[in-house]
Amino acid sequence: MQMIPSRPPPPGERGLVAWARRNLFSGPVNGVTSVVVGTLVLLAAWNLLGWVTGGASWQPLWNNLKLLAVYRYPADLLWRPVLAAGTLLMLTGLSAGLARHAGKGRIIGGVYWWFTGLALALTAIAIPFWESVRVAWVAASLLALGGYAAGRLAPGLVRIQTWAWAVGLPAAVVLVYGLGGDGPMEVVRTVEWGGFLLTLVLASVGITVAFPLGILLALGRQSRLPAIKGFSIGYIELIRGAPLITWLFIASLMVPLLLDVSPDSIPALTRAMVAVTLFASAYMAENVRGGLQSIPNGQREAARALGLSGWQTTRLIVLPQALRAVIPAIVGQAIGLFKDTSLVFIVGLFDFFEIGRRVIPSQPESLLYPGGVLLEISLFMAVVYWFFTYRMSIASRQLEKELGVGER
Amino acid sequence: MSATEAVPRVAAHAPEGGERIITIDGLNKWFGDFHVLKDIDLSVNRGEVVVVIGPSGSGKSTLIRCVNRLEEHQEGVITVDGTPLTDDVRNIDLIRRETGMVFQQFNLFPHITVMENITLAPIRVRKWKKSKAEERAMYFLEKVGIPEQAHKYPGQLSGGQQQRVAIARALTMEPKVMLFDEPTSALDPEVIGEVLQVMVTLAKEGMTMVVVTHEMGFAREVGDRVIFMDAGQIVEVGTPEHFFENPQEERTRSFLSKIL
Repeated sequence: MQMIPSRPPPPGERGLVAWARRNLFSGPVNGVTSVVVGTLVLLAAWNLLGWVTGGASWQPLWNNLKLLAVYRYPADLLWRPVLAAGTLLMLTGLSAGLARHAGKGRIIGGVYWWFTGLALALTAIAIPFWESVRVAWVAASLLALGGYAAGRLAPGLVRIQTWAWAVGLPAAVVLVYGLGGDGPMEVVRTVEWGGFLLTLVLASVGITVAFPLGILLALGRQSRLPAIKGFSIGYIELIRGAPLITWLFIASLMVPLLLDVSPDSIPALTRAMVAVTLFASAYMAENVRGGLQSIPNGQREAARALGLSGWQTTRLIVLPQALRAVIPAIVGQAIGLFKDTSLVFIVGLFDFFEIGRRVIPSQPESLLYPGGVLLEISLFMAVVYWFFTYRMSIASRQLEKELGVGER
Repeated sequence: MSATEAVPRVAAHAPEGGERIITIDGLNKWFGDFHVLKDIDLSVNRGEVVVVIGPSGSGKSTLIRCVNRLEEHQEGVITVDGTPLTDDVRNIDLIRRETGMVFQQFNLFPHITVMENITLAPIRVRKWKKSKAEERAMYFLEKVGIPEQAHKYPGQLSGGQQQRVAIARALTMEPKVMLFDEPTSALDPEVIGEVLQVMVTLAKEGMTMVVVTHEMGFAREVGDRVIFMDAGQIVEVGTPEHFFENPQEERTRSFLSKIL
C-alpha cells in the first residue's frame, strides 16, 4: 500500500496579518474591543512619555539616590557595599563561567548578565557623577567580569568553586557590616542601614532561612510522631492566622518582653528578620506540602523495597520531585516576600519603599515642587522592584523547563 | 458459611528437602475492620517459582507486600532467609535488601536517569563503589535487553522498557528472592511479551520468584506451583498442570473459566 506523503499547511495560517486576524479581529465584538483598548493604551503611553520627559521633576530623585540605596550608611564607607555587590557578582560570574564552559548554565548565566548589566550601567553613571564610589564601582565591575572570565578560561577552578562561595559570601557580609576598630572596616550598625540594601538583606535572609525551615515543617506535618506533627500544624496555622504586619509588631514589641530584655538590646533589623523568616517559613511549608502530596505513594514504596531508609527515601526520592513540582509556588512566594519587606517601616526600619514613600517626599526641597515628587519616586521604585522580581520570574520558568527533562 | 464452622486451612508449603527461603505461618491481616488475609500458611524453597492467581481483591498483592513489609500484618510469623520479620527496623532493612520487588506501575524514579535509578540502592544501601554499581547495572541492562537506554530518563521509555528497567533495578541489588506484583497488568498488549520473556529467563536461571499475575502462559511454562486465592485465603494449591487440567475447587474452576 502507498503511504500518503505529508503536505505543508494551507496558506494564510501564519504571519503577522493572520495572527492579528485570529487574535484581535476574530469577530465584530473583538474587533471593536481591540480598536478601543488599543487606542486607550497608545494614548496612555503617549501621555506617560510626555510626563516622564517633560512634566516630571527628576531632580529630587537624582539627589536622593544614595538615601534610596543605603539610607544612613556612611558616605565615606559606601565603597564597602559596592564591593560586596561586586563580590557576589564575581561568585555568580565564576559559577556561570564554569557552567558555560561545561555547556550548561543558561539560568545562572542569565541571572549573572542581568545584574552585571546593571552594575556596568551604574559604573557608567558613577564615573562622571558619583565621586565617592567611582573607584568602587569600577572595581566591582572588574570583579564581576573577572569572575566570569576566570570561570570560562580556567575550568580547573571548578574544584575551588564551593570554597570560593564559602569564603566570598561571608566576606560580602563582613564588607557590609564591618570588622571593628576605627579604620576603613569600622562597624556600621544596622540602625544605619536602610533603603534597597535593607530590602535585599531582609528578602535574601528571609528566603534562604525560610526555605529549609519550611521543608522541615512540611515534613513534620506529615510525621507519624504526634508531637512533631502537632507542633508543625500548630505553628503553620498560628502563623498563617495573622498578617505579616501583626507578626512584625509582635516581634518588635513582645519578643523583648518575653525575653525580659530591653527592646534596644535586640536590633530592629534582627527582630524584623526573625518575623519575616518565621512568617515565610509557614507559607513555604504549605507550598512544599503541596509538592509532597503530589508524589505517588509508589515512589516511596519502590524506594523502601530497595532497602533505602526512610530518610534516604525522603531526601533522594520524594523531596527532589516534590520541590520541582512547586518551583512556581516557591518563586512566587520569594517574589511576594521581596515586596512584602516594604511593611518593615512598621517597626521603625527605613527600607527602600519607606524612604521613597515618606522620607524623600517630605524633604523641604521636595516640597518646593508643585504636586510633590511622590509620583516620580513611585514610578522609579516600581521599575526597580520589577527589575529584580521579573528576573526571578524568568529564572523560575527556565528552571521549571530544565528540570522537566524526562518528566512523565 | 458461619463463623463458628471449622474451615479447612489450605497450607501452601514447599516440597520437603528444599531449602526454605520464605516461611509464612498463620498470617492474618486487616485493613481497618476488613479481614484481608486469613490464616495464610505458605513457604517457598530456594529456586522455586510460585505463581499466585486469584480475582482482584482476593488479597494476593497484599500477601506479597507483607513479605517485605510494605504492608504490616497483625498476626502470624513471616521469615525470609532466616530473618524473622519483626518490628525491628534492622530486620526489615535486612529483608528488603534481600528481596527485590517489581510493581504493576513500574515506580521508576522519574527525576533521575535509568542508570541512576539502578545504581542508587546498590551505592546507598550496599555501599558499593559507583564504578562497580554501574558495571553491574550495565550487566543487568544487557540482560533485560536495553543497555542503550542507560542514560535516558524513565519518561522517555515505553512501558515495556520501563518495566524491564524496574526488573534490572531490583536484580542489581542481587536479591535472594524476587517478588512480582502484577508486572504486566499496566502494559500495552504488544509489549507484555518482552517483559515475560525476561521473567522466563530469570526463572530458568534459578531465581526464586513469587509472581502475582494473570499470565497463565507464564505459569504453565516456568511455574513450579500455582496458588489460587479468593477472599483473603488460599483456596487451592498445585502444579500448573493440576490447575489447567484438573482443578478441584468450584471457585477455582469458575475463576479459571473466566480468564482462560
